[in-house]
Amino acid sequence: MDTIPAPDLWNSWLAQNASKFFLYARQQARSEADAEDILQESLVESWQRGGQANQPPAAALVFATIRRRAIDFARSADRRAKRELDHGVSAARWFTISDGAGSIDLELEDAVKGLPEIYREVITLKVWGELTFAEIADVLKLSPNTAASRYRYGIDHLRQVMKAVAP
Amino acid sequence: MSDDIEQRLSRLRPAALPPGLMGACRSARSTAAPVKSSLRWWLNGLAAAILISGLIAYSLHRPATPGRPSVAHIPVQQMGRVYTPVESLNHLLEVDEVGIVFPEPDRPCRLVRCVWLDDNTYHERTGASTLRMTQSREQFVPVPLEIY
Repeated sequence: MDTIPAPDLWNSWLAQNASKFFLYARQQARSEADAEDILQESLVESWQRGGQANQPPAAALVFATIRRRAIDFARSADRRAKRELDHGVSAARWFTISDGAGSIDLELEDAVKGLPEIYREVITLKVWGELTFAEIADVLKLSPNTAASRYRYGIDHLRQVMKAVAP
Repeated sequence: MSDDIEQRLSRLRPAALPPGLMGACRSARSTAAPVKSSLRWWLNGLAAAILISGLIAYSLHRPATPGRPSVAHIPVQQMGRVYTPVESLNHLLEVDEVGIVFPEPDRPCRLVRCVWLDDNTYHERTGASTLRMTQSREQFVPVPLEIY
């Protein structure tokens, strides 16, 4: 018989991981509303597919599920109409900026948002998703070498942007 | 400052979920019961079995090709003699990918067409004579695909 995850386990898993999954969902979705729907559905599906009553699913599976569902959402015509009425993703802050950080972190967030998607998703999965390059390669259907290369290019790109902003 | 870009990135913390979304995610726990893989495979197997049954039913009810009677009818039509099968060899001649079908939503199956050459040998019950029949047979095989 299937078992629903215990409330404590489910809530602590959400508390520890939901923000990084939401960050990735926001980047993959075309609107905040889509990102929220994708996140909820992906969390549930990931548990159904890879979780156990006392063991959460692997983070890589959740990221892969978010990515696949975001593609499905993007293809959906009825959601496209809704998306046009919604706010753009760029309006929302993706990161928590501490009071003492000054404007540099805001500039860095904008630089991350401005990255080409192929670099941004690898950096997101590596830095905030804490996945290995092998896991990233599995999520994105790439070779590990390509994932590592995109990460390096993305970091170099950010360096250039931040040099221009704060030399 | 550009050299510590990775450290600066790692210090950025992803924004917390809006309270409403976090509440909705917490409430979704009741629908997150893991589906046992055996159940998944059983469902896949059931879908495949239904598809195969349909294909078999179709092939059984299809009119036989003129001049080429079906194997099942031959022994009783040999002037009272009864032949029973003693050997059957099946040679795979062709394999083609037909396409991908969805017996259920989110449960894709590759449909593969196989052409077999069946070589069947029958002995008359008294052992007085042997009958050998060769004919081609078409088969559609559904192969469940795992998607993530």
